[in-house]
Amino acid sequence: MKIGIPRGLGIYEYPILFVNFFKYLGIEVVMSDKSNNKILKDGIDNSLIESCLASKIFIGHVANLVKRSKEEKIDYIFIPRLCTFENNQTICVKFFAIYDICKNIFNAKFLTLNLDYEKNKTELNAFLKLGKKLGKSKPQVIKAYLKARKMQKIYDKKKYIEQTEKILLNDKKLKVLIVAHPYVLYDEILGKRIIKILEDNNVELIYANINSLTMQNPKIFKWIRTKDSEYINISKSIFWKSSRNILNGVGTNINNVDGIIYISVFPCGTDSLVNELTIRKTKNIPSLNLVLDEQDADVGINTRIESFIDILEMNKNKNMRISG
Amino acid sequence: MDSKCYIGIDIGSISTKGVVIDSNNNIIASKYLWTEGSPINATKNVVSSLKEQLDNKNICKDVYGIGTTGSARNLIGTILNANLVKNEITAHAIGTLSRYPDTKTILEIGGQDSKLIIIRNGVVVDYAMNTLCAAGTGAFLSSQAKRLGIEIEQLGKIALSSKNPTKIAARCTVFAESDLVHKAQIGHSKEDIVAGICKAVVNNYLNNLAKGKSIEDKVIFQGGVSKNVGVVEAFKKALNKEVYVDKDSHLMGALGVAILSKNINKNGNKLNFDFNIKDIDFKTIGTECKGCPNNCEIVNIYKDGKLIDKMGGRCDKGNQITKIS
Repeated sequence: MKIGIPRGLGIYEYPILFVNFFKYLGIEVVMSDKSNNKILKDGIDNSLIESCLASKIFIGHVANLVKRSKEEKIDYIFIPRLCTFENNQTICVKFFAIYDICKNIFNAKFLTLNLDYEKNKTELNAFLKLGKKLGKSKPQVIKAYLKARKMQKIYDKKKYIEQTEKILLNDKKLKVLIVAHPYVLYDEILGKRIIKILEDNNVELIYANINSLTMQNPKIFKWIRTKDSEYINISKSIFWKSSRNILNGVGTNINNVDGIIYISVFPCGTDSLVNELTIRKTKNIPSLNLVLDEQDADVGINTRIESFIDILEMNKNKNMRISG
Repeated sequence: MDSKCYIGIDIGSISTKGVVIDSNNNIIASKYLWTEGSPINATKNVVSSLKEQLDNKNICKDVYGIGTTGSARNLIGTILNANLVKNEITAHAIGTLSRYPDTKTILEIGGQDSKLIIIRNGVVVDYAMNTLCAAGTGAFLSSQAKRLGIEIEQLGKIALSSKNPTKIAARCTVFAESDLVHKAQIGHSKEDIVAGICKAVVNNYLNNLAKGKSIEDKVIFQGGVSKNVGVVEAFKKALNKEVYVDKDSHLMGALGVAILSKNINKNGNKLNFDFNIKDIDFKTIGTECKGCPNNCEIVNIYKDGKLIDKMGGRCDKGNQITKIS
């Protein structure tokens, strides 16, 4: 059996878990191509005009897999359906709907994982249901899930330790905190494009989505209390999981960085609220809010990033005042 | 007398500005004209006009620095062989600070961009820039002026004669336009509508950029729109503060980049710059890179038929110039 996974949205929440779960069950996995303008174009052609850019790109990735499925003999395309999580957390409704949207747009076979704590209680139950559809036995599925979960944790921990070392490193480089959802940050034509510009400008980047909260395993039992994290300094009541994760990163790192760059896609409902809220709560640190849309000219983005870095540099070397 | 001079060119979406300064940051020649969609031609005209002014004043023209800024800064930077290409925010801040060292807030509204620059103790500490849409910028004003059959230069004066500005939705240019047509049809006078437009620009600016930022004295207003007295008045009323507009408020970006190009040229080498740029033939040809599915748009710049630069590609594949030996 062969399963295709589109690179986008929910996949970036737990990439290692999803890919390895199938691998440990002896199922071959292929990924869609990395995002490029062709994928974006296919996505736009197949989406409603009002969808957000990230979901348009996701649909482009599905189109890419559908196109390849005949030649490469892909049996199913895997689209996780993320809905509700522990502690009454939820996520953008796009994640609820994207599986059904794709099922209606494309003539292909899809497979889903229904991560809905209100229905399934735990993540494991959702995986058991998925395993049943694949015709695997319960012990097989549990073993594959636990192993894949562990791999995800090892991967997260490695990234977390690397980042902590980077924060503690006391060099003269500017440190900038990047606040973006993983599906924006790791996309070739969204976040990676901006990261490249920043790295060319010799800036040390700290990522808000890598923090102690994001590497926590999901609870197996409902009654275990999760300890409070740094996000409560900014908002106690934030209930979007992905936003809470990155807010925790902002709360943890705010004293370690020279500036914050928020990257979001147009039109994002959660970010338009959360980023605005965070900017207002963190007034004494310079911040830049970048909203990406379908225009692909870099001029506007370059201007904003260059000016922002100029400001941070002037702030850092206050005695090196430039004046006429 | 010190004969060194420095050139700053600010190529915006609507207008192109050029200045020549001496070593003491005094403007000795300046030019302002419409870009009209052709930054190269506009720059040629600006440079030849600067040359004429220098010739008339009989000043020796040894160029020791060329800086470019504005949205076409990279293209023009290549063509003029500039020693400095800088973003607009820094350029504007430096230009303004050279004249008003005690500035704390700069309001800037240009053709398609609007910016708010916060300065404390002579250092830029924060800025905001309009994100996706160009509502409430110069482009909006000029299209509405055209709709009302008024010269854009007259807009400010007409606005001042109104006693009761019409309320116009400021959120979006498209809505503002239909609102405006509607208000005209139910009988509001032209002066009131024009004053309403100026107020809408200010409200839009304050709602979009200035939210959460503290605007402190001294406030300087610049960019093309600062020439519109109606908008200046509306800002004064909305902020309840004195708003200063320099007589060269439209040239601040060009001035700033000229100063920066002076500062960067530390060894004091004379630059190889030809004022007779008008006679040189520059051509740009847009092509699509076929290196990968991204299909970046590459701009090839030819000087007298010879390829001098390529830009626009996301990787080096498209930007490399294949040398023809």
